[in-house]
Amino acid sequence: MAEKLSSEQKEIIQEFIQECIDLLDHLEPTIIGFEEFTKQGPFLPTLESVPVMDEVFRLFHSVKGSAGFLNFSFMASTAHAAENLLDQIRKGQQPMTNEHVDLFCQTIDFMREVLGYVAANLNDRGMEEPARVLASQLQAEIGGGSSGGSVAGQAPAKAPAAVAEPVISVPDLAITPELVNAFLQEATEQLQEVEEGLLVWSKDSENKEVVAELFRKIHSFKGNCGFLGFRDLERLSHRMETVLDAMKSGIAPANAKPADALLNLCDVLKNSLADISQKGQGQIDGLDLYLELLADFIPGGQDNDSSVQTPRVGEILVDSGVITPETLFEALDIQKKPLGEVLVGMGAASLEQVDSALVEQEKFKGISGGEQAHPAASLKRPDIRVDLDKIDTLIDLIGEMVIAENMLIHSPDLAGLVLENFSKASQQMSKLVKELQEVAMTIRMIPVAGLFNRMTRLVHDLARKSGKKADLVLVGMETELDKTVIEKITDPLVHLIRNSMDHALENPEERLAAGKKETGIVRLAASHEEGEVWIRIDDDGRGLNREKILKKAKEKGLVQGDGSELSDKDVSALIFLPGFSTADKVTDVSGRGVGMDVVKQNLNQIDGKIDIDSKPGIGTKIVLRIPLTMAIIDGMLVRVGDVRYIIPILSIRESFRPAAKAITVSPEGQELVRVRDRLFPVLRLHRLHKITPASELLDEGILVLLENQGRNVCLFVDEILGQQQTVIKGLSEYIGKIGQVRCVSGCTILSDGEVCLILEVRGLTDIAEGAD
Amino acid sequence: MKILIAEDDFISRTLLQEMLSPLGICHVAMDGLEAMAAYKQALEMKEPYDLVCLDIMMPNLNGQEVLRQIRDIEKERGIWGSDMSKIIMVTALNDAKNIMAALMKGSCDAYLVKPIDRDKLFAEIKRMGLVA
Repeated sequence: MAEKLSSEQKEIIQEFIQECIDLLDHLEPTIIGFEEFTKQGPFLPTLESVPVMDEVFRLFHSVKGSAGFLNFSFMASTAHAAENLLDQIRKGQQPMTNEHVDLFCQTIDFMREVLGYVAANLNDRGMEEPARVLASQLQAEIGGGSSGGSVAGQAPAKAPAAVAEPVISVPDLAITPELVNAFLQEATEQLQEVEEGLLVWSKDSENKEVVAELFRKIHSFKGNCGFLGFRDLERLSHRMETVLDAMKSGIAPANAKPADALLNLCDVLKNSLADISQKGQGQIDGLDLYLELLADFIPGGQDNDSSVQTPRVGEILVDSGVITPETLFEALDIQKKPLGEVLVGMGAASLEQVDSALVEQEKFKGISGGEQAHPAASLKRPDIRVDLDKIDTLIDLIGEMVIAENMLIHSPDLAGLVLENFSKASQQMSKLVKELQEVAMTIRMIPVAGLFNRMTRLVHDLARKSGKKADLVLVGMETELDKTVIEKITDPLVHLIRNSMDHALENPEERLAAGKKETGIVRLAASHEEGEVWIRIDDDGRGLNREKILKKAKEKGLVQGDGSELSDKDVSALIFLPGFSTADKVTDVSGRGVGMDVVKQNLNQIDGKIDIDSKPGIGTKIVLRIPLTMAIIDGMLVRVGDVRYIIPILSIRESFRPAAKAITVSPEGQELVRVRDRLFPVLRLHRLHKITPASELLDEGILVLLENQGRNVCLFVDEILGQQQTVIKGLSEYIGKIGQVRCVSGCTILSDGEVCLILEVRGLTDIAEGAD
Repeated sequence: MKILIAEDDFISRTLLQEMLSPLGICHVAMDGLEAMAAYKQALEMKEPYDLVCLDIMMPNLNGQEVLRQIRDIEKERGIWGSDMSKIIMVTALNDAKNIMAALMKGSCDAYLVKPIDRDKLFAEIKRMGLVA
């Protein structure tokens, strides 16, 4: 069939794949969200859940129609079955159970698989077997409608069969670094929760709820691993899930206490995640051994793992009584060396014993070899992935080009010449270069929506954990930020949200007592302000406690004196000092006194600023102010004495030559200038940077009125030289550190090749503020 | 069965009408706006159309838009599952974008490319379970 297809038909199939993937990506979280519904057991549709179901129903319906149109009959029939099942549930003909949710998830997985197959073969004929299996499972549910009571009995029988899908090549979806990062973050959190659950369970082994919770956690963890193709992780967590399933339904061997073993395995999973974060494949050394150890907790010893089991060195040694399973765990912790070597090193086994075990293992390997090797069908997406380095190089080059262009057009050799054609051409060139710059900048920009959406989950989890009620309001999701910036602010944002949830928001009772709504509101908003991107985290919690912060700061020696002279803003800023934490008790959520410090550090790395404003009893507002990655800004070139500076145009409100009578001097000696009935402090740049100016008289120079966040200062300079595109070059660490240069954010190269400093307006207004 | 045919081209419209009238009452609309008006009125009278045939290239309101609006109305009113109108796109357009927009985004039930083939049309109608 593939060869008979016309290019139009192929195009239709491509379009179908693309549309399908988009829809699946969009709806998969929704389907996973069904788990929430079924948490309390079988679930009947409610007012809120119906629209959600409708959306999923539409997906199945659309896929059915499209697949039918394209003659992908297996895909169509599966979608049809899923659609019917959902139809029944939605009509209340049968309640939704956990198994149903699993089946829907599997249907989604199956669809992805088919899409992978279709992409490679342009038909779905190879998918008959899995389609049949899945469709029959769906049909079985449609027919029978498993009653709620029998669920527990069915689950163990059904779950392994369902999950142990043949190790078919999972479609190689474009797995982006963001995806992997998102996965790592989520997986780490999941593991953390699993660990906590296991700890509870190990103390209270009768607690079935914990087991069920653990099962769900590991299940979704496994799903994530499988989705991203981390096979080892998936297999190990799958086995852990099977163990938990057995424990949950009470069919595990009576005296089995797997909590500790599972805890150890959590560490193994964590190591593997760490490996992935180091760009590894998350391989688990000694995986088979771990799987084997868990088999003891499963009735019948094994779940139906599809690959042939190779006996493991460790197992053979344990069997022959040379070592105990405990020794094995110890040995596996060391991990970096081959297991045999470690065992010998520990003196637990002799070299000969290990060698003979290895020989035995080789024999089995020979038998089971050649089992794998599934060609991976790959999905083609119309976009291409480009190495970030290449983009960075491109942007750097464009920056250099702007400088070169400036040097060329403002070349001193041309001074005084009338070159009509040259100026035409150079104007054209400037325009192109500017456009090129703008386009290059947008390449790296991605919307904050992805980042924000992850916070929904965080707030949800934290609220559940702490028993508080909270709504997360997201605003400005479409605001775009540089990709690396988004990565950098992820941690700070998580910290801040955690803080808001843990410290700021009160318990429902406390809130009611304070006359607030029971449910707290955390608002996360992104917007463009003053040439920066602002991320605001507002809550309506109890606000910062000035006394508490001051007391703590004094204890830690962070404040001299009684601190009563500090403004509220200054007090708030104290919480960003290293080692500061006022939480009475350290919770698992926050309060370790590292969070805010890290927030500040991360923001510093991207030249971001953080502002905090808090009103006791009303709430806290935190603003992360992040510069756009505009490595190129519009600047005004000014001169003081024989030094030139660039001032970012966005911060300039006006510039003027003051009349002598507009200037007054305050009793403290601060010069002020009156502009339309408002007084602004004057800052003499020549004093700040110790330069000899052309004139010390204010009415002989120029005042540039600067604004930053509602604070103003008039900067006194000799003269304005012009406006120009400025490529920002960072100052070297050395200069930045010794603090010799105040109020400078970077430097640039002028068209005549000279280096020129760029003024940092915020620093200037800060100085003026201090002088008030 | 109640059928709505939206088609601006006289020959296609007549052809569809003749093919479908043995199945039930056929209403015809000359453009997208008429089709929407007819659809809404039928809905108000609690006698919605069982089958809607939509051309895409129609004046005033194109078929894709009609499809989207109908699905939106259904969504709004909670009309769902087997109660949704069955919609067949009957059009000369056979480009990937249009086809997938109708099938995936618009959730139409079938997409037929002109010239109209009676057998194909009836096979689709049968598949939808509208006739035995």
